[in-house]
Amino acid sequence: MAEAVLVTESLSKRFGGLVAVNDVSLTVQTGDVHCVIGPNGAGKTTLLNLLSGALPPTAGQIRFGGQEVTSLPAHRRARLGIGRSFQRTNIFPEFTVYENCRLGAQAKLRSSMHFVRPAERDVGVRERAERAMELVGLTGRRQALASALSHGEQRQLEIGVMLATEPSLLLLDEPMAGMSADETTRMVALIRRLKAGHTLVLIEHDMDAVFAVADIITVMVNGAVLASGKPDEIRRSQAVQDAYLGSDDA
Amino acid sequence: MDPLFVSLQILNGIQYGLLLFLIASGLTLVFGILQVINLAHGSFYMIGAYLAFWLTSRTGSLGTAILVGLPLALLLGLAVERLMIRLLYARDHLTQVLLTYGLILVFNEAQRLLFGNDVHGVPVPEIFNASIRLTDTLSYPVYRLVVSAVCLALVFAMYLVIQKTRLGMHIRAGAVDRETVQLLGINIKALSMFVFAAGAGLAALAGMIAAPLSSVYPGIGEHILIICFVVVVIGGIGSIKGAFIAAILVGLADTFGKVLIPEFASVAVYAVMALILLWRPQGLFGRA
Amino acid sequence: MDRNPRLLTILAVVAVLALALVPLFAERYTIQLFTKIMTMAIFAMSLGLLVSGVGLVSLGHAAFFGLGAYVLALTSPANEGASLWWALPLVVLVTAAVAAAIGALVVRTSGIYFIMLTLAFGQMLFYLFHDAKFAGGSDGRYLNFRPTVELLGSELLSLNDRPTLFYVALVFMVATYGIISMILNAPFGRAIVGIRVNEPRMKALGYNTYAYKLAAFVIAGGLCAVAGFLYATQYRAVNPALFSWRESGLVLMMVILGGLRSRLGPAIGAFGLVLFEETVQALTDHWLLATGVFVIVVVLLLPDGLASLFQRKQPTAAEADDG
Repeated sequence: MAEAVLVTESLSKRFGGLVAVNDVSLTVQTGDVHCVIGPNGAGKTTLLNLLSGALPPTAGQIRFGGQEVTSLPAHRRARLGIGRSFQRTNIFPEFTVYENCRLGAQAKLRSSMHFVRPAERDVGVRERAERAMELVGLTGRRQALASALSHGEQRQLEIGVMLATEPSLLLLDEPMAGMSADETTRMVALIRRLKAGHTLVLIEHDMDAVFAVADIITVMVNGAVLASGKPDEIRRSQAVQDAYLGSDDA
Repeated sequence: MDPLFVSLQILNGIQYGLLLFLIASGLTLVFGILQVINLAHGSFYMIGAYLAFWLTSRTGSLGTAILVGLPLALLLGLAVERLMIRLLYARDHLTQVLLTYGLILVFNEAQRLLFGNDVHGVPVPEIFNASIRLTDTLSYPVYRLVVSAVCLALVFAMYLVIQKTRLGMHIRAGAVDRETVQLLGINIKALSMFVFAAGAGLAALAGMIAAPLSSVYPGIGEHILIICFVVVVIGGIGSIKGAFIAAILVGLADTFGKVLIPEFASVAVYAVMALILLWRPQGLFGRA
Repeated sequence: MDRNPRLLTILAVVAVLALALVPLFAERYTIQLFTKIMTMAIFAMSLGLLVSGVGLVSLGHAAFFGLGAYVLALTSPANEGASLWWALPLVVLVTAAVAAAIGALVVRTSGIYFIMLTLAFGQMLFYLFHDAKFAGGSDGRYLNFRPTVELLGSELLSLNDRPTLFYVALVFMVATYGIISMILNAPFGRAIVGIRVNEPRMKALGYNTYAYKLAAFVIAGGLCAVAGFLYATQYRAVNPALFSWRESGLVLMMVILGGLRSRLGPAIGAFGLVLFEETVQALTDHWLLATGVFVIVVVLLLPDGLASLFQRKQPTAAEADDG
């Protein structure tokens, strides 16, 4: 059995009286595409925020690559190799595609503060940015302002910026949100390509896409894990049918 | 130190704190509800002080001056909100700083044009012009007690309005979440106008009643404005309760600073602020 | 960010060359005036790094201007000039250290909070020097002798000579611009601009945004100290008004009015505002009234600031797309 890259134990997050994430224990295996699904308000995005360090958990533990990261701030976790994309497109609109990716690539520099040498001169940074653009298929649009991209392209760039940091674990928050059928097909292909060399945790509403890419599916309802297993098991599970899938089939 | 002396200083500190609260409460609500940083808030205090000086010298009575001056200040507040501040709601803080800084320059120069650079005094109203003799060397001016009483009455009235009325409910909701208030169908424009004008009126009133205690001089508004910023920062933006506690705290720190470390009295208040921020960056009652 | 910087760069070079000719023709007063303007331009550029670089609106930047001036005044020997070789680094380092202490507290906040906190800390320093006996209280202090510039025991430059001081200020101004440009082009600069645009995203990418903001705050403070150094050298006197928040407000106006999108904006704003002040002051005692009205009109009529008058339109989506 492959070693688990990400493990959470009894992870909980409360906002005042509201329990957004309730006692979630997850194991994400290296190289898997692990999809988290569930109705709106199930706590999926909050879970992702706990994993990336954007929010501190109320209780529970997170281990990444065998290391305890529960109390590490977001930027430290990112440097360990946790990349994160956002549900709402979260790029730098006034920069070009290339500059967006370079900002991601530059985050990887060991000593992060360079005051003198122009940013352009660093070959490693440039190459990482180029690779990221290539992976998401935006090389041809390198000089376009991010704000001028189509919605689908912006979603691709969103992932490209993250890839430029060369993370080993990718947390993707609804990468297909608002996409046309064409764009979704391209994104599914991208996720399949990313599988080589990355572990992915994915929140998604598009069930066809989820079943097309997932190795493991975790179903969340009301902040808690309802079921977790291979796509076939989830499809057959009566509990999941009742709670969620049945109503969402249309 | 002599306990009587200490109690008098506490009284002074609280009186100053109450006065600060009158000004800072408007400031914190304008931040909280209008989401506008109004550097010109101190100008209303200055305008109040000069109105008190001018009208008292005309009518001979501070009471009359307040009766005439307060409506004038409220009208001015309404006008400033309608003509300028309203345009800032959707703008960034930078623009707000720029415009309200411009307003300060205009108000200050208008003051210099009308009243010059001299320091003026406003006489304490005749009936309150007395001191309570405590010992041979210590006495306490009645007017200070009157100011404290007026402030307390206003604080109590504000409490009633904010806690017990519909309007107050809207204000509390607005300070927490402007969007929700709009969803609830509350007229945020009217609410903003009211809050701004009321804040301006309170600041002006504070300037009027404080005029006999401290002299009236150019730049008086800016000094008080920055102290009130400190109050808002300590209390937490948008929190009336925070502003009240912080105002008393700052009043006491300032008063005791003057007694204990006269050379660095003015710094004491800022040191208190720095310490509190180390502990709670969002202020005592601010939301993170 | 300058997307069409060429024209502006040419204009700037021409302006600097023209400026260099000023002492050859101008009389004493004009030389002094332009020396002061260049000092203010350094002051404004250092604030510009914070405002348009990181997006932090400081209303207390005069604290570092005053501090720079006071450190020179307080450390200069009574009967001779301090050597520039040690005095300038000392001024910059002490100011940067204070900026680090204040910055550690204030850059934890943002928005309205940051504005109010910087204002409050600026005022704290104002009172510290206003009330402190060692610094001369509200009168401030005199600098008996200007700093000396010696090389191998002989005098290299005399800062008592007005044209020389003018050229020193010019060199400092150009150097400040050069340093800020270098920083903004370096990875550090890209990162702080990224923080201005989208801080949460930068954190998610692995940037310790707090450290970056603090570093920018310290650099801005240190550069500002150079302006304070020049001021104290030129006027041979310092007083607490240098710390005042009016000074902070005025310099912020220079930055904003000069244009936030251009690296030259703060310098343009400094020249514009001081020359405006000179012109109006000749006519009326109430030049601040005119300034106030001017600022209000600009804000109300030009939503994007004065700079938008002189600026080429931003490339639209379609134009930027053809690359």
